[in-house]
Amino acid sequence: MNKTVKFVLMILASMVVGGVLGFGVIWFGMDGLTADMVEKLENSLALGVPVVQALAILVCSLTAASYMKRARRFAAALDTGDEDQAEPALRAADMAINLLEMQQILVMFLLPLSLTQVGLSLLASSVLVVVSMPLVILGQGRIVDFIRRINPEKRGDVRDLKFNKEWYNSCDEAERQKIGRASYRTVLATQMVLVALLVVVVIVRLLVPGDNLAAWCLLAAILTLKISFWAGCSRAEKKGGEAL
Amino acid sequence: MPLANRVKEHRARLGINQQELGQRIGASRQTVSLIERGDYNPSITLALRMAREFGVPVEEIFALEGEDTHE
Repeated sequence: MNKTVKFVLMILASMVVGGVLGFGVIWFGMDGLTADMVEKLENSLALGVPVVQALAILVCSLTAASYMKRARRFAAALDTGDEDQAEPALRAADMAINLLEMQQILVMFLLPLSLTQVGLSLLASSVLVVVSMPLVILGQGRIVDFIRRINPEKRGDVRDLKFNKEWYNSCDEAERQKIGRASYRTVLATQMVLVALLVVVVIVRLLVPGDNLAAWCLLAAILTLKISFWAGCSRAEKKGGEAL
Repeated sequence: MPLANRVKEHRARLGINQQELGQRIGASRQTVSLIERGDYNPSITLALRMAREFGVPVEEIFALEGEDTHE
């Protein structure tokens, strides 16, 4: 990296750290500021949550539908014998599934923010979570059926609790290798994020009085990740490339 | 290590599509496509199954890049 760029980045980082520390000093200095700020922030968030949830459902569902329309177009070309259209069709279908998953995660993630306000906001937020779930399940079911049309050897029903296992067991060596690589990257990234969050939570806990629930939850998540990864590696060594 | 392959050529000779070849060798259509594009190197088992289907030695299907497949 260029020396000038490094210098500028260092100045910017120092400004950010200085700003955060300065804010922290004021935060401690003024009585009641924390409670007041937190209350106002929570109320604003609670009111906006159902709107954001509805937007998330709309944007994700419509974009997923658009990707599926594209996937069906590619699949139609595949039916006429153009085998090169299979990959774009599957990529579009994958994108649609990921969008629906993102929708459900966003909608559920936002629900706790509306819990500070009992009333219309909480009711609307809860209704949106309940409405979103079957939409996502039905949508994913149709996408999986579409993927099975292109890859008939695939097994599993999204409504089945054992879907992931069934699907994995119907994957061949190339697909399992891809899943293995992606899983390892996921483990590394998740580990990094969890440890970073734990550091932030511990620092905040040192500065602001409160309970240790967040730290315990993060520790539990890190332990679960580590233990399941070690157990998975040990099992994979014994079983080779066999089924889950 | 990149592999050169003649899978598409042999498949065309047999007159079968990727789906059919995949079914015969126990792989998905997607994997056959990846192998043909050179984006995936099959295991020994899969390569041998492919050779059996095509009725040729493995060396006539796959070769290390820079070396020719045996004619």
